[in-house]
Amino acid sequence: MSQTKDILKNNLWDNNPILIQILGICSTLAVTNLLSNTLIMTLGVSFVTALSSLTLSAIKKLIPRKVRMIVQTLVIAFYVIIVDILLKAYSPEISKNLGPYVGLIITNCIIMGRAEAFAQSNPPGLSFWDGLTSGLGYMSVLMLIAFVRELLGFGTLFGYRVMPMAFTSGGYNWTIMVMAPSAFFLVGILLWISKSIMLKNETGGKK
Amino acid sequence: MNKNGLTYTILFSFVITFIFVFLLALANVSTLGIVEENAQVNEYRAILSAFGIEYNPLDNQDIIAKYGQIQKRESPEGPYYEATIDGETAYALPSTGSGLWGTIEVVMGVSGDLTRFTGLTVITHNETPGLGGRITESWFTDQYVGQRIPENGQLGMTSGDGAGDPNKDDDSIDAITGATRTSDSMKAIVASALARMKTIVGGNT
Repeated sequence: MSQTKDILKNNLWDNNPILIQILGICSTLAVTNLLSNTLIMTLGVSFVTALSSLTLSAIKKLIPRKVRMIVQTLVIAFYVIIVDILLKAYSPEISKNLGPYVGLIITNCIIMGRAEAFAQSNPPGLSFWDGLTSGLGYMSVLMLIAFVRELLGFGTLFGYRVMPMAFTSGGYNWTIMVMAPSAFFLVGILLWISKSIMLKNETGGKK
Repeated sequence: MNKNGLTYTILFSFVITFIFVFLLALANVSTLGIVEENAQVNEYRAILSAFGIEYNPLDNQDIIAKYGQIQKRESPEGPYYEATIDGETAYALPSTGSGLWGTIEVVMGVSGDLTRFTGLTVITHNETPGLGGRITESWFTDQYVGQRIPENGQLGMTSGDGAGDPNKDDDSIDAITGATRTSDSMKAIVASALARMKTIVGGNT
């Protein structure tokens, strides 16, 4: 039981895919200006990471070493296309908003990273959990960034207006929050904060 | 069989690819109907909005039923739509033009005598999210509903407070602050669509 807890803590904090491993940065910049899009996108990534880790771990004994990476890509692409088909059929509005980014989940390094680093050498159940929690670690950081960007850029949260209209209708003041560069700044600030907290914990508060 | 041998590797790659692609094909075929209906309804929705016809956006059947009153017509200027709303004829014309970053595709609705807009829907665009991208927001598109069409066919854009221009009898609507180029594009697209609409209606009477 402690192993599952360790994995959870590892993927959410100690070895967070974005803050520590710096993986999946493209999507962090691209899909974090609206909370609802970010939520669907990160749910998709968690789903794909969990199930591809599970599948790859289950068939790992059958895969010849030479074609290992090709099979990983095949399985990941399979789940991503399933997500794409489901969104197109049951949630066309979100599918339209996300556009090509759903297909680009395939190139998210986190998924292949987990398949290669964890699912290769662990049982299916544990691999599923590892994939899922990696997705959650990714989701938590992206949602935090999307929260700040949507609030300051559009003055809304999940589409509901929380800031007065005058806050955003000026158009000029917070435009950068809507554009990709703001995600660069926010990721940088988050890295800084989380690194300082980690350093503090390691050194026991001493510099 | 040797797991790392050539025969096994080829056989394994073939079988595993076949299985996954087969499953995908199944998933694709089983959702094909819904996906096509969604695309169709999306188009109907844009045309209904351009005519100013109200519908339940979540009810596909409602949209399909209301679309029944609209007729698609062909003309040398391209296809357009005709509907009779409360005894009055109205037209809708799909139109495209270039925006700041890419093509903007709209459907413009006008009354039969070409004196008022009935609505305007933006179907696709690539404008900056939060700036030019606001052309899809209702405060902007609602400005066209019932707006008088100026004599010269040039609907102006003036800077406003971001809430929309409530005056339907003047010759202008509010532009989007911070998105002057996109607003200018919309002005040009609407003007050229109006000119085409005049030719179409003129040719009919």
